[in-house]
Amino acid sequence: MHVTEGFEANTQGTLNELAVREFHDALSRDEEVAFAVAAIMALTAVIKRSRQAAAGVRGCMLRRTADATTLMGVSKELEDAAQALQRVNPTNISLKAGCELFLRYTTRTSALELKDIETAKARLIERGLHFAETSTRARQTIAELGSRFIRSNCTVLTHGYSRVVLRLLQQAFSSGLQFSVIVTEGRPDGTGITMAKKLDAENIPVTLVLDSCVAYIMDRVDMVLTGADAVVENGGIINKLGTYGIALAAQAASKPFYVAAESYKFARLYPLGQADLPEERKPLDVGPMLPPRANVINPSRDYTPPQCISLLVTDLGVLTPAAVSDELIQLYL
Amino acid sequence: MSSASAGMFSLDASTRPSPTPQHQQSAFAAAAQAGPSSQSQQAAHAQPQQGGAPAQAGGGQPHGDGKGPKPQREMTKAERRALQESQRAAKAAQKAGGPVGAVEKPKGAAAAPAAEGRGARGGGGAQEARPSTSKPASVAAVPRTESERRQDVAAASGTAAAAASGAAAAAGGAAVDGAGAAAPKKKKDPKAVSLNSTELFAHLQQYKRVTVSSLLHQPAVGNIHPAVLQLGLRYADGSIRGANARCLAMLNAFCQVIRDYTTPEGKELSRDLLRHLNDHVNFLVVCRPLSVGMGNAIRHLKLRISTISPDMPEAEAKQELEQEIADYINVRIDSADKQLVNYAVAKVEPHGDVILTYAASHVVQRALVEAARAGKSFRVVVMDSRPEMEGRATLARLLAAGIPCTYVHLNAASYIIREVTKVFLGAAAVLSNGTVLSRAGTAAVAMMAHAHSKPVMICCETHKFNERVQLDSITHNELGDPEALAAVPGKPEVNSLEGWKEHPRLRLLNLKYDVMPAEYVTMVVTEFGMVPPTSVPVILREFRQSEQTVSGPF
Repeated sequence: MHVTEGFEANTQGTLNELAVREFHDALSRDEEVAFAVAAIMALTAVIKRSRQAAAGVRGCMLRRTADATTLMGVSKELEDAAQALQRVNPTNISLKAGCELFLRYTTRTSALELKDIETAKARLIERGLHFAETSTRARQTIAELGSRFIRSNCTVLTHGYSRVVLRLLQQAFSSGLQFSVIVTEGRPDGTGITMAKKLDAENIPVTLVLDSCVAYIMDRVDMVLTGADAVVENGGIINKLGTYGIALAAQAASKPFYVAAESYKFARLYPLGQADLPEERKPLDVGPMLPPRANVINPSRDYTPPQCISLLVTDLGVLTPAAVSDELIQLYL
Repeated sequence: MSSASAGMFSLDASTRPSPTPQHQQSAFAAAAQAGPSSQSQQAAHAQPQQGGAPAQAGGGQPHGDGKGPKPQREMTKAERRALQESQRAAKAAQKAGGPVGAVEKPKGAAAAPAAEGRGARGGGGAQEARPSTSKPASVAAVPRTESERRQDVAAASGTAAAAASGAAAAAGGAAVDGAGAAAPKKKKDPKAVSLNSTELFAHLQQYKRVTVSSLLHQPAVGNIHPAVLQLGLRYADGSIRGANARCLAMLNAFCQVIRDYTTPEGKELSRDLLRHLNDHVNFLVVCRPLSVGMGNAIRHLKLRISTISPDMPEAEAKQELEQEIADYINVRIDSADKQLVNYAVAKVEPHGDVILTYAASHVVQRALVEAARAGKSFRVVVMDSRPEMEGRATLARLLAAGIPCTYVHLNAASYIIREVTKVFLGAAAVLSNGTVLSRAGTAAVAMMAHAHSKPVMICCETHKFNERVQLDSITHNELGDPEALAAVPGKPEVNSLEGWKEHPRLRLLNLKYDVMPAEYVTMVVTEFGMVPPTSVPVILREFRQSEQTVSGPF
């Protein structure tokens, strides 16, 4: 018995390492890859690898373990690997959401009821690959769905840098629409400037404004379009700091507020308010003149409640905020 | 149409001795006298006009009575005829000395015999028929001594009110118990309107004090299992209260009923047991209207019974049903509670929360106690209100768990809400439009919290979810003892309502529940996690699907 336990621990350790390595590889291979997708790829690799490991374990245990236990072992391995991945970046919500969704998606199959372990695992791998594939395609789907919301000669306000928003705008522009984009500066990390550069490189007319300029500029804006770090259970979003303020300004000015988000960002989170978020701090961007006794609160993201959001453009379709929770319930119930 | 206007009109009916109540009263006498024959049918025709509210309630029911609303023209004709008949009958009644016996109902008009007794006792009370038109129904329901003291006044109205509440009982039961396929066909008494505490609520089961002797007058009481008899009494005296407790107690009692049941010779278990169970449900309804959770449990049980194959041996079938009940209790209530509490505890901050709760909710209490046990430091504001004062039980339990508490009444809500960070509330039911049905006063608390942007969390297990949609607290509700409003315990000097029954223009309304629209609800905490109120139909749909696949073996 001791031998087996030791062996399993060993396997798990190597599996976790493998997951983390795969995760970093996926991220470095292509900067377009989202955290969640990288996690999904890593976890799929874990299943593949687990096949050999489990077979090894089975041989070791001289058929003392029933197949079901081994399959449960596989899902346990997956869970452990997912936790290891989350330890890499504990405050990243979209990584967490991706891992949770993947686990749910794979274990919800009938695979676990199959008698034959090899077939079951093949099924799991198949599902894992399928999930990774749809996740990679998600951005393109969203771009196609969302570009229809952009009319010619309209002005779009966006906040910070979002790859899916960029893809959407590119798609709309390449279909021959004339529109202009207003980008906030996106302090403290200046992601808005990155966004402006990329848009400019695509020849899309772009205007850069201060983050504090949002309410001033809102009159000239036809629609607001942002990305999301995570979409929470009630259809609200968690996104770069300042999004909530923009949403409120848009609501006050009766402008539509659209969110483009891949479905792997749907998280099982239900924040009650700003204080109820997992905290994440980014480097402080304040000048050297800071008085020594002044406190600084420096969150990096905020929560926008569903009341402020008009529609969410996802790869599952264009959803109202309420429909997000319907999708999540169907997945998790 | 006319039903609505009748309902609205009746609001101010108490302020003048209008002819309407009188008509209604005399029409009642007609129905009472006429017996089950032709005139009762006319009365039923006239009902949509006169008994406005019952007609509306009927619309919301899955199976209304056989006589649906008739075309307008026919109704007016029928009404005219009924009116004439009733006036004639009223005169006759006056001569004969009091109406005798309510319309004999096939079944379910449980209160009829009792009413008959009282009517007879009253003797020539028909003289007082007019003043009693504006008397609240509960005149008939006051304790013995009281009713005897003013017997002459109560006599005529007693008959009417008791019969009315009997009919309303049947109606209410059918409304709550959505699946009550075998619920009695009720002939709604059109005159229920005239005598009720507040006519807008005439369609509800009128409050009637339940005592051992009043229960013994029930028609089918001989067939009722002693466990259910006891349960009914405990429902009535309030010693079992709270949606979960009531549902659990009912399921346990039904378990005993099934255990002691034997199929009569030549009958089929699935059919006869359904009928048998229906008798018990109807009995419980008389004691207190069913809650939504109870209705769901009964529906589940009935579905299971009806799918029992006739070939199955009785012992095995009973075993299976008992197992089914045990599973229901375990899965839908006990472990659901545990799961729900875990989710709710996760929403309590480790430090510094001030949590408001209102009245008493078992799961909320449990969640707060668990949160304290998990080492979270927070304070609870227990809000309470008359007449139930259920918050004191909450307070006692939280204090026993060492949680610092503040106790306030509902009228301090606007003051205290500023220091509150979160609101945890229980619910009697959550409906498919996200509306939350809960103890009267809860909606006000939620509205206050919403106005101050405080998150409102409703803790409700999915066994109390219902597919009904409700927009106000009038269509379905429960009436409590109006007497509870009249006296303030411990304050004998507050007695201006003493003798309120003698006052012709005063009615007391003790509503038990109210309705909170979904917009005040931040989230509903269920055993499946936290969902926005807009997602209630999704959960219901998932359940319906699983129910079909699980218990539809054929």
